[in-house]
Amino acid sequence: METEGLTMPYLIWLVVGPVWIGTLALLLPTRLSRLLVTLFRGVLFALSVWVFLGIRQTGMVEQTLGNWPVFAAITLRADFLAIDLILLTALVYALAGLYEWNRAEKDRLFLFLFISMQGLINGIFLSGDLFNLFVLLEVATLVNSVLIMFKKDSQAMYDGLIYLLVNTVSMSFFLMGTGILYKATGLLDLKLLAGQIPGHPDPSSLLLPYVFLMVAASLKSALMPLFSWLPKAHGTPSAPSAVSAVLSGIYVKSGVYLYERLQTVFSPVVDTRELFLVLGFITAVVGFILALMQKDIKLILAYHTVSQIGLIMIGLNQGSEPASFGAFYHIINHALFKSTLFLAAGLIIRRYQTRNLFEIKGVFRTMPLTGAATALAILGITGAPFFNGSVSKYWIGYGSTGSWLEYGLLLINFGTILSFTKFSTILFGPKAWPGKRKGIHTTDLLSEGVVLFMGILCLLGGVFSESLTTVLFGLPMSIGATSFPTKTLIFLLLVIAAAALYFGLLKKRAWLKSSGRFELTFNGIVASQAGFFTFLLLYVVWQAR
Amino acid sequence: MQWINGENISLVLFFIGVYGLVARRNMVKAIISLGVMQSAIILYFLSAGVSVHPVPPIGDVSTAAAVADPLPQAMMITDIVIGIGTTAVALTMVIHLYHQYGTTNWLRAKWKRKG
Amino acid sequence: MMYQDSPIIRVVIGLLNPLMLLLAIYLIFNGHSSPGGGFQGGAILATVFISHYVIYPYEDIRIRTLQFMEKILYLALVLLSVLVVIVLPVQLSLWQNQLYMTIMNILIGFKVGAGLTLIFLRFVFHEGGL
Repeated sequence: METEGLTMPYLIWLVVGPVWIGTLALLLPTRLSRLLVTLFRGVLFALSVWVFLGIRQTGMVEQTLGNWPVFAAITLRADFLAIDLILLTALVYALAGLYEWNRAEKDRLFLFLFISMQGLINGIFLSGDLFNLFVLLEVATLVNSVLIMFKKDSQAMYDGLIYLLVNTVSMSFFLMGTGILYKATGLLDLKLLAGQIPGHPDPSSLLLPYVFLMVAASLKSALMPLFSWLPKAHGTPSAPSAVSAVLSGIYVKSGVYLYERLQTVFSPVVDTRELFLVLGFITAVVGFILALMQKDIKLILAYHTVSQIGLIMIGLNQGSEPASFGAFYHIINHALFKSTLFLAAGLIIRRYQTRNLFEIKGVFRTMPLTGAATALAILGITGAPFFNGSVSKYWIGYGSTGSWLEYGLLLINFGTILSFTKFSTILFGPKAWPGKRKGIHTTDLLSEGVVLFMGILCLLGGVFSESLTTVLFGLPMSIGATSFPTKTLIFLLLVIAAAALYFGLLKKRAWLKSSGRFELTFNGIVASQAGFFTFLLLYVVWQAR
Repeated sequence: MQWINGENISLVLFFIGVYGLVARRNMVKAIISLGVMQSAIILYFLSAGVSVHPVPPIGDVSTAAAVADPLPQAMMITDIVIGIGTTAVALTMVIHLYHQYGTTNWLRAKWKRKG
Repeated sequence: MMYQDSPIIRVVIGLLNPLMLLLAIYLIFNGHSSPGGGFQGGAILATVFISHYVIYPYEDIRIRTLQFMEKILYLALVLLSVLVVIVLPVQLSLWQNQLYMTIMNILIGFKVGAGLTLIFLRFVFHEGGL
């Protein structure tokens, strides 16, 4: 796909347009701004589709700003992966924006920040050089730390401050790596670097910048041991649900995107794929174990995101194309189900006025639309047959039969099913008594409709997976007819085993009910980052010997 | 004596900043350490391409032997701006945290938050 | 305030203020052809106001006016860039480009000066609570 891309002068609009419309939204009255912003999201989606059609013809589209030569200019480059992610961003943002339509307390500042965030994420996916990535990631960190504190809950400041400081530290590592790389090669542009690095006269000088850059990418994609910031940021009570949905669905994937780009650029010189495969596996396992120990529904979802990112890392690092495409498809699927779950959780919290898992029962009867959407999303995320999660998980495990990885993947799937068995206890039970809690009794039909629509998308993504993936990636992916019965059988067995384990054994354990989250202080988080840096440096130097 | 050049000093400064983040429990010191790290990065970028007696890249430089590289300078101006923004937002949050919990110590704030 | 009115600071800042102001304006106006530009000039402009506050802490500063002015400047910035980049797609001549850059630098300089002063004043007037 490295053909000479066609120059499309409208890529910049995907990045700058949202910020301008957001500025406009600050000035107009609230109702008009809301309408304007929502309509503009539709325009962005249409624009993304247009760019996507351009990429289907030529393989890559790029735009160099200001007509400067490539090594000095800001280049925006879109290939298949980037444009798929931008389409996904446009879709999730449009739906999350519709979800937030009825929230009367959302003022224009929220609209401005939320849509600017969309422009920034588009920019991150489109960036062609490292310094542009740094600037956009830093600004995104600032905007996010304001957004997650938006409801001004009591715990908001602490979470927001840790999020801001930890991410700024990792971006400082990133910039240092960029500096050393600039000194070693004189280039910042990713495409030019990919061309220059194989023939570089002194490969050992590239090891240090590689380690700096990888530490930053690992923290942004929440790998073990650097994921402590994620549950605080995504599951914090003061974040509006749309913000949690977008953060967990898309923004954390930008870390994975960064990781993948860096690995592709540095692959002739450094090979750490096995290390990150193992790290991904450990992350996935630790993620679901920690998710099981939570009693706050949003924190379960946030820890589970960590687990799924581990799964995506496993898929990316196997080195085979089907597994990589499975991982990309899983990024899309996970965005869909996680945002559905977060948005539904937001509605449930508003209705029940509590975040405690054990106090919420009977969602199917009290809020049928939301309950149905949650059930569809849970079926999707656990990999039930006909849902999209099963397709991507099958492809991630492609070619791993017989090795330890196959059993590892089974373990991760089992863990996912187990943690969502715990989560789905909120669905069953009697109807909630409206008089006991001072909840919001009116149903918010628009938000519930949006959530149900997203849940149905999970189902459709599974049923139509072949045509969808042919359009998005050029590779038809589905579960082959021979494996289908086996996979269904395995899934049912896992569900039965998980239900038995949970209801029989674990429900009574006191240590699971307690909020057993091991929480690092800020010093601990930075120390683990420095430790990871040292470990990676030693590993890379030892391997290059 | 050639070990003492801009790049090595900036690497040392960077890790001093990281040490400050790890070992000090005061939140304001954490923000100061971030500032130290950013200064280290700026120093690294500016000293990365330095040659002997460079000329500033303004106007007509075709006659000069060595011209200073303008690209890192432009990048570092952006970086300083970002540093100011981050420091301002972080300091605002620290002030609010101080008024809320009455302490600027990470450990004590964590205990008070859990309770 | 913490310390009493210190005569040294008062005299020195009084001497330096016009020089700082001149330097700020010089940097802003020459941003397009020499090091400097809108942001740097704006930061020095903010220093002028902040140092003036240090020697004479006046409480009756009108923050609303400053905020309003900053918003207007930001709006003008965005509108001007939209106008020149989108609406006039013709290739501009050299002096037109220089004029555009100078105006943008002035707008950026004043906006940044107002913004940084606002940040400082917000910190100082923060009496407690949100």
